[in-house]
This record gives sequence, structure tokens and C-alpha cells, in this order.
Amino acid sequence: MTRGAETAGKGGGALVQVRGTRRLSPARRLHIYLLEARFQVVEVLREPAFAIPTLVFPLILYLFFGVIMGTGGPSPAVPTYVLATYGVFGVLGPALFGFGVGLANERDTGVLLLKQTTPMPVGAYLFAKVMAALIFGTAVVLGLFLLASQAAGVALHRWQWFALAGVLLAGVIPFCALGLAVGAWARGRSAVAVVNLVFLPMAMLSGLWLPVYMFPEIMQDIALALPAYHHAQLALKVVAMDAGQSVPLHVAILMTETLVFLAVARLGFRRAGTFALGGK
Amino acid sequence: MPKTDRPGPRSLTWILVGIAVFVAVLATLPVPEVADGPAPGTHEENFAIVDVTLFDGEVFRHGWDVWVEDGRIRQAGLRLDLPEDPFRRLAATAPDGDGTQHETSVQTLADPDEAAGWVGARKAKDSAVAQLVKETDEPLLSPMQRQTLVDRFSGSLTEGARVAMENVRRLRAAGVRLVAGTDAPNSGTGAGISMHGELLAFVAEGPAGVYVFEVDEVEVR
Repeated sequence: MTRGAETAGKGGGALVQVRGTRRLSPARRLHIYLLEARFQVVEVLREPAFAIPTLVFPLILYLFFGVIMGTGGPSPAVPTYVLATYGVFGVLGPALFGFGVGLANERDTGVLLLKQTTPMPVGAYLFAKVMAALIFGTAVVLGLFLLASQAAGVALHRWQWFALAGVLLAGVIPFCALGLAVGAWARGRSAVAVVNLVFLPMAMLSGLWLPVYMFPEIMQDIALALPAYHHAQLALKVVAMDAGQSVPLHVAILMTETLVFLAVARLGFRRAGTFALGGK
Repeated sequence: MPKTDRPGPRSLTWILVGIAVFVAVLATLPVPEVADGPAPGTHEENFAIVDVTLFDGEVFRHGWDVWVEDGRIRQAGLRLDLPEDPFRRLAATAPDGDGTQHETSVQTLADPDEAAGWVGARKAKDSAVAQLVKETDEPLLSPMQRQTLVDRFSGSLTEGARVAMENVRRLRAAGVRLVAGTDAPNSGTGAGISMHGELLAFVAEGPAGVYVFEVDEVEVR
């Protein structure tokens, strides 16, 4: 029995038995992963109500705060600062919404169950969602970089451009894990509301719109617990504008939180009776 | 398994093309103009500044040595193993006296009359400290940081800044001792850099760097 079928059998209540005993060859497995990723991206692109705001919202914010309001000052400090933080914001959106809302919807509409009846490995489903978030995140980061460099006069050292892109895109992993946790617990209809409840307050409290030090102390303390804060600090470190905490601290907290989100997601899937993440 | 069209490899190709485009765009984004190195001829000397209090942007480092080479700080640390020995001579002792048993060389004074000359030489050496303060805004800052400083502290002053400078001038004229300080990390200020800017502003308004250094001393303690 293939891994997907086993998973469906154990986690999903054995609704469908899948024929076939052949183990997937690595080439076949890669093929399935890529295929699923491709259709995930196509699916998202065919939903312009999701795709356009996700891509354009961070750019509009940057245009307003980074270009129009940020370039009047004596130096490109503000456009550089918000480039890093809106970059985090731009990566956060597709990861949270793609996973959180997408997963909840697919479970409620039965698409997830349908996929579980196929020999597709569970990993391919998750990989596809991560890839979609990564591709959208890349598009947002690229758009922000072009806007910042062409319209706001931001000039970074070559290594800084690459390091900033790398740090920003690496944020897909914790944010996807968070999205997975939300998607595992939220119902389809409420998922958008729940994700927004996580997304917008976290973006604000993590200092993605305004620097954290401008907040009252209690809000600054809350920021220390948020993954987006630590991700933003890593991004700001690349442009030498962070609050001064150490890189290992940020990385350790992000990794711990990622594991916690995955554990929460797993509990959610067990409760809902859908596939057990990494289970069996 | 039925033979199907193979979109897998095609997807892989698209992913590779995407990565290549991404890298290509990043490779063409603007970079700051190359930081001006020390102008030729202006930093001919290599020198060391020993036993000074150094602010490294986060904390004050007391008793550090700084080695400057070709106008740039090459090394800073507690009791640096400096390339040239004379800078090491913080203390003097009698021939074969206390200190000579260590590997580092200690200058010896054979006669109490030599002490005055030695102290004079030490004092002369300390003049390099003022030189350090004067030059730090050049080699140590990134082009963006330097531009921020230049923009903020040069050219026509805003009305508020003009009033502030006038107040500083009057306070100094009245003999009030001022302490240099910044409000970092408030908006527009940064730990370290803004202190340089503050000192630059004092220099711009005051008669001499010596005064600025006195102010800095107060800050350190």
C-alpha cells in the first residue's frame, strides 16, 4: 500500500481503500510533488481575489509608506527599514492565507478527502502549499525590491540584497507552520476571520508597520513572543537596523515556534480526523 | 501506471528559470557607491592609540587599544599585541625592575630625571586620541550611514536646530558644563552613530575638538 493510502486509512477513517502495492520510485515521487505544486500555483492564480491582494497589498503599502512618505527625509533610512519589514509582511500573507484558509476550505469542501484517496503522499500536498507560498513570497519580495531600488532610492550592498531575499523567503517555513496550525483547527467559513485575527495583529505588534520601540512597553513585550517579530529582526539585521538582539536567539525562537505550530497542527488534524501530519 | 504527459520536469524547468530570473534581478539592483577609502596622502601614518575608552556602538570598552593602519582601524581590543613596540610602553620601570620579567617590553628609566621626558612623550602620544575622534566618521561608517550624518549635520540648519545650537553657545559662554548625549534609538537616531553626529555638531559650533573630548569624557563616566 502506498504511503498516501496508509495515511488515509489510519488518519481519515479508512473511507477508501486504494489499490496498488507498488512503492513509489523517487522519480515518480518527485513527479507527483512537482505536479501537485504546479496545480497548487495554478489554483491560486485562478483565484484572483486571493492572488491580486496578496501580491499587490504589500506593494501598495510600500508605495505609500516607503516611497511617498518615506523619501522626504534626509536619507533612505525609512525606505530601507520598511523594505525589510514589508518584505516580512509580504511573505507572511501568502503563507498564512494559503495554508490556513486553503486547508480549511479544502477540508470542508471535501477536496482534501478526495486527495487522500489518491496515492499522492501527504508530503506532496504540504510541499505544494509551501511552494505556492514561496513563489508568491518571491514575487512580492521581487516587487518590493524593484520598487525600493527604483522609486525610493534604496541601495544595498550586493550581499545585502541576496541576504535580505534569503532571510525573507526563509520566513515561509515558520509562517506556513503557523498557517497549518490555524488551518488544522479552523472551519472553512471561519478560517478567513481566524487568519485575519492572527495576521493583522501579529503584523502590527511585530513592528512590521511601525518600529516596535514606538509602542508602549507592554506591547513591546508581546512582540518578543511573535514569530514575525523575530523574522523581522533578522531581516532588519541584514540592513543594520535591528534592535540588537542576537541572531541565534531569533533563529532558536523561530525554530521552537515552528515545532510548536506543527505539534498544534497535528493535534488539530487528529481531532478533525483528517490526515495525521507526519503520522503513523 | 498509465503513461502520462510529463509536466513534472516542465515544472522543474520553470522553477529553475524562476530562480535564474530572481538571481539575475538581484544581481542588477543598485548598490551604494564604493565607500571612499582614505584619500591618498592624508593618512600616511600608522599609529596606535592605547588605553582609551572606546564606544563600540553598544557598550563602552575601557582600557582598549586601537591600531590604525592606512587611516582605517584594523584592530581594537584589550591590550592589543601591537605591531610596534613603543606603543606598548604604558608603564616605565627601573632597570630590571618590576614588569621587566614579562615578555612585553617595558621602558626602563635609569634616572628620576628621565621621568619628566617620558611623561612628556606619553602626553604627546595621547594627541592621537583627538585624531581618532576626528576621523571616525570616515572609514567606519557605511555609505548610507555617512550620508545620513552628512545630510543631518551639514548644510542649512532647520530653525529648531539653529535655536538649539544658539542655546548651546550661550550655555557654554555662561560656563555651563554640557554632556553630549543622544536619544537613541528614537526615530532618526541610532546608538553610536548619533553620538558621532552630536560631537560633530559640537565641533561645528565650538572652538576646538578638545572641548568635545572633555564633553565625551563626562559622558563616559
